[in-house]
Amino acid sequence: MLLRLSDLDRRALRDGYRQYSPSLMAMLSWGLVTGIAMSKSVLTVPQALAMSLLVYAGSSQLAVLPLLAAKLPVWTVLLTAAMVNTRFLIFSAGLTPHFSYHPLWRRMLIGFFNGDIIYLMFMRQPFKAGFEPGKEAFFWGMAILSWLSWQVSSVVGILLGSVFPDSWGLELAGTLALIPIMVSALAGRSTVVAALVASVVAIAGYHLPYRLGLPLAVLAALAGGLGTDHLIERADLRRIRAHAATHAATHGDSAPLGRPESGGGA
Amino acid sequence: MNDAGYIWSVIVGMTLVTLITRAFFLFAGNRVNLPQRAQRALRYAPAAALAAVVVPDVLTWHDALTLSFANHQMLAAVAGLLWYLWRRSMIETIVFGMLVLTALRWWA
Repeated sequence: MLLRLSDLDRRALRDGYRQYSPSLMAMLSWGLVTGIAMSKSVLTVPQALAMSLLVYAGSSQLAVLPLLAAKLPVWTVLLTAAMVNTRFLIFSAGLTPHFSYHPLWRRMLIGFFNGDIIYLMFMRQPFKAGFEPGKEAFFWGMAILSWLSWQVSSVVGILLGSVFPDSWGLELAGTLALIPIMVSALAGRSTVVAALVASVVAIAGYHLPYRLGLPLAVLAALAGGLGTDHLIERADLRRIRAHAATHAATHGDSAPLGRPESGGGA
Repeated sequence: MNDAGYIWSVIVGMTLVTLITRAFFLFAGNRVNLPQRAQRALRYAPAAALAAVVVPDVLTWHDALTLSFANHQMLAAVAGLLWYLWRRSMIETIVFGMLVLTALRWWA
């Protein structure tokens, strides 16, 4: 397949490698930690290897490990993985105009190999929508390097993990790795409220039957987030109206365009 | 379902979850239009799900909910959180949290 690449595509591919390489260390250490955490979990070595190769989504892999140890129902585990992955829905919407001319299987492939860093770097480029020579090769340059660095470091982590004694409590490393992910996902008041509601409900529902604590916590958090959004919106509207009223009273002209602050914001 | 069957079905299911979430709009194109409210909910779902996983996990100590200083794991996670808020480095957070856990195991 490489042989069919044009000179321009080959340059774009190398450009992709170069763009991605500053993030290599971060990716390698992240893969290593995930690998170690997987090997210290209830997964056997073949299961851990399969999960790394097939699932290829670090934060959701780490997030489900404690759930597997607690033997939560499959649907709860998958729901959690999907929730942690929702940012990718937004990424896939961002990639769509760039690759919509491809057949379905090719779009699926591009989606599957997308990642946080790849997406950020890709969207930073001045690419226009639709076909553009070298655009896809640039994407694959980053995607290939990302996949390779993740898989190599994960496999090393999985094999290395069994060397460390269980008494070191290394499974906590995976949980510790989730803390930065969680903190950086806290953008805006609504997310903070959602995370707080999730924590409180998860503790309160700790002893609930059928392990319902987790799905309940997630649902309550979504409701809490939406509620906060609603309150923020109403407060903004009130402020804008009050501002417009005073403005109209003093100047007698129409209201200025207010820009209500939204709760989210990436 | 035995343990192996349980784990393997999770692995297969998660593979599908990755594919569906990562390729969702690439797959659905413009046929699906997410309402504003749903788009917002998507933004706080990850933080909520991670909190719902991490908090009960670090509070579980010797198979029981332990909200006290006897829970070394909880202390190490809080230390890691504070370190991250200060330094903003994932690797340092992990190393510091593990050091705190090890120190507590030796001396506490």
